[in-house]
Amino acid sequence: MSQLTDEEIREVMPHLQRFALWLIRNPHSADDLVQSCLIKALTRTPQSRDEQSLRAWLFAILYRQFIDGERRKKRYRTLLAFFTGEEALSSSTESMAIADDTLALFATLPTDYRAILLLVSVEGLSYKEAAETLDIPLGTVMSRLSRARKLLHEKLEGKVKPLPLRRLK
Amino acid sequence: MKPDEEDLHAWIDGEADDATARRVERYLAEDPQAAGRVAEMRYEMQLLRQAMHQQKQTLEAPEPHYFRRRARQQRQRILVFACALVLSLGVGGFTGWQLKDAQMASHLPMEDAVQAYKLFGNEALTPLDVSASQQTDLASWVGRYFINGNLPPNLEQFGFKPLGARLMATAQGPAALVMYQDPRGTRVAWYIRPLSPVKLPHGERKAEDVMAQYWSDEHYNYALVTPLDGAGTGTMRKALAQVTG
Repeated sequence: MSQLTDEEIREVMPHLQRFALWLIRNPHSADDLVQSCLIKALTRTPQSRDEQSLRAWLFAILYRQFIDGERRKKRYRTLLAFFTGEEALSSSTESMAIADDTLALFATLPTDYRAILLLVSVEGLSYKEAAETLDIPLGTVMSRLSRARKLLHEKLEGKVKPLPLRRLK
Repeated sequence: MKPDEEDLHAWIDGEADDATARRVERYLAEDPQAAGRVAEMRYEMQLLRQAMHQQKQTLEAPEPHYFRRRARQQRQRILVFACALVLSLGVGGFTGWQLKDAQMASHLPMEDAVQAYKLFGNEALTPLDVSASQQTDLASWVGRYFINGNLPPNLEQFGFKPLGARLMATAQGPAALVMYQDPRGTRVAWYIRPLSPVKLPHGERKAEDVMAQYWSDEHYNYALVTPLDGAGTGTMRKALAQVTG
């Protein structure tokens, strides 16, 4: 077994970019996230070469880095708040142009919900693969998925109005 | 039995086992409202997938060799760091060891005993604090200053009688010299001092024309300093080496 091939990298890149972009909701940070994920992946050897599990393996690396990054950011914000006495604003979707209503609403879901919907409904990972990627039990995948879809449904129905992101017609 | 919410989702995603799938399908066939809800959910997921696929990727897509180079650089950085760490630990450790050796060499064991002997061992009488010809007097005097210490030995069998003693000071506390003399005027000294800086192993060393034999117990370092050319001191040294070694 050897490292990822060029072809495998090219093939998986758009998927990683999409996952990163919708997790972190900022194109620059998403670029960084994909890069650090691939660099990390290239220092290891994947356990399996089949396309689907290779993708799941990379998603897992990316997600882990995303979580670590969020933790660092949170610590930094806490520290900043401690010294300045103000709550620092977290970066959000401001720098992202979203033309589509569904995506605009999707972007307002909590991170956990976005991650599970991206993996299962968009990338087509099995529950088991999603559980391994997010490092959570299978039962949590199922309950989280159910709650995520319910919330997205309510948003699409207009029951929850996310005003700033709704495109005016 | 009515399937729960999670069963419905598992069925939507093709993750339900056969039994659950049959149960869900039966339930949906009987309950149009639930069927409508499930259809809506599937449609919304479809919508999400489509929107995702249509969303233009605005991200950079560097060529794979870029990542390969970065990964290599990172590995090299780690390697360089590891080498630097090993090198600095190695250099530090080695220098430290050398330094310790150098310090040990510069710190001659029981040098204070040798110097004390030289000070009081000559004929030009540097007066001793306590002059005592009785072994018991000396013993009680030493016992006052050195709790739990060994008492000065009786060297009469070698022809040496106690002459006197002198209290001295070291950085670690009091020390004492007990001087003995034989009828020919040869002098030997017994020396006691606190343990620190180190508990000495048994040993001996020559310093110019005297020999210092030293040993330790739990509380003190001891030395017997004898002139190398003194008649009768050879047998005494041998006897002492047997007792302490």
